[in-house]
Amino acid sequence: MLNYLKSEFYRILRSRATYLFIAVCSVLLLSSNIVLALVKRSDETFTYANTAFSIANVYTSFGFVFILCIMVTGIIFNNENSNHTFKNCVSYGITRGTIYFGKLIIQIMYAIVAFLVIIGVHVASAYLLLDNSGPKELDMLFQVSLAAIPLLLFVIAVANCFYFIMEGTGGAVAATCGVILALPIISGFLGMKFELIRKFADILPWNLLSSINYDLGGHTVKLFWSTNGYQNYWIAGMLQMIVFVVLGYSFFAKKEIK
Amino acid sequence: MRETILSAKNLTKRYANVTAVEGINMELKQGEIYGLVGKNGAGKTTFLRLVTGQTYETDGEISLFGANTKGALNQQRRRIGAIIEMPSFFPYLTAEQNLEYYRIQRGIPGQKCVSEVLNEVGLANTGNKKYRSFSLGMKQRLGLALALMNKPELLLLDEPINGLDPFGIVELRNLLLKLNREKNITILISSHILSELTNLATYFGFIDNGRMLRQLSSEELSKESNKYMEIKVDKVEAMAALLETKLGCTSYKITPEYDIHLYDYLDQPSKISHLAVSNGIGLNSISVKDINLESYFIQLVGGKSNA
Repeated sequence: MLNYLKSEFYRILRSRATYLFIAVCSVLLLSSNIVLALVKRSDETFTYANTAFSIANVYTSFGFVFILCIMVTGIIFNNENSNHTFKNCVSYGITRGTIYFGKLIIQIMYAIVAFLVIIGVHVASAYLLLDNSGPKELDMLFQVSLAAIPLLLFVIAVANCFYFIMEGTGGAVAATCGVILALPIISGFLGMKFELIRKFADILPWNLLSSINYDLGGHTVKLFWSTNGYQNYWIAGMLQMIVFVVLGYSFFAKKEIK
Repeated sequence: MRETILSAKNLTKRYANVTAVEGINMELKQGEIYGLVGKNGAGKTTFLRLVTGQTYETDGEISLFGANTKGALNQQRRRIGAIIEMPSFFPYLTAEQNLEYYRIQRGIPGQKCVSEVLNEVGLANTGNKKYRSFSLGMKQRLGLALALMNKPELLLLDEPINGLDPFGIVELRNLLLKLNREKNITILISSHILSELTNLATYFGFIDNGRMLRQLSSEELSKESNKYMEIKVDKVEAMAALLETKLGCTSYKITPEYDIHLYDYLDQPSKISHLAVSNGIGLNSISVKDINLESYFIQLVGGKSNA
């Protein structure tokens, strides 16, 4: 496993997409701060050019990070099915478990690094370019991140599962979107009629993320569960993640590699 | 006695409605060059995929270096090098980077082996050229480099000369012969370009519709596909009797078409024609024929399908 992880690091460090993804996301967030700073410069009465507004924009838009997680998984998976590169590993006795879990570990590691760099660039540029509203928004960002991380790990596990199952990237992305977006929405609608489905819909990661309420004045975060909220978010995220990890691996273990 | 490197017992692979490999039994001994001969779609690649673990058998058993359980087979696969179908690499990496990636993954010590093996296959000067810009021949060479990088004891090569120019084909043949003779590497090579295997293989397996039709050594093959003299006469039995009584020759056969195939006196057709004419037998034609691997295969496959 260690050798597989090392080889994957060697590869992704030489892939342009690895850097491009982080660079583009960082530049987009940086540019939002630059725009706020420029507007403030031309209009002194503009009240949003501060770190509170800028950072709140990030943690209230974590749904968008779900989509980015699918991209992260794709970058690391790197079209191994269409490149037919798995056969070089399997033919040499690298187990399918090593490949499957190795990819998942690298995807999670890359996602964490990308998250820290992108958020880091955004926060640093906010404090450099905008009015400082104090450290409380950072605390809010930390609280939301703490609840959202297991949900984001779930998205990576789902995307990884479908990248291994499907031959094409398009199919994998569509199936992932179906599970992380369409399923919560559809079961949410059905939940209006059937109580059991509503309970099921409530614990789906997309709905758990949507359930987070932000008390911007009080600088507190309210989760779906009022007691043991963070713990329950982690349990829900991890359990659902395990389901898709097992599903993907079970399929890949039997799949013919071409 | 030479060690059995690879064996298959009743190996079968079925897909939904198709049986790609059916009840194959074979043995590959150390030091052999085994030529797997078959048409496109005969089951050669599926057989090699089964050996390399890219797919799993529906029935039967594979044994590699004496190991036949799933885990043990995976361990033993570290001792093989393989090119199955077209070589495949990461398009945005160079030849050296692609090999380095797999060197790290396989835990092969010493970065030097990458440049050595690239040199061996003639790709030492590709520099920063990305794999996506490689010609088909270069891709094949890189595939071979990957297969050789871990100094394998068994090489599995599926149609390795596809895309190679004539010069490359000769180079590959010489390289494989050198590896076999000097390093005692056992080779299983599949091809539908039979002339190439004739010059290389020491053992042949003929596969068609997923079934192994025949396995024989190159000596047995040359005996079976030997040169012969085709004699067309009006009195076949009388001619056969003359061959036996006058020349003491029993090395002949009478074909269903009522021709005589004579395996002796190939350099003396005049003696045979004189024997026929002087004994009142009408001689229609006499010629020396040669069955090559291609004809042998066609005969074998045709014979089976007609049966």
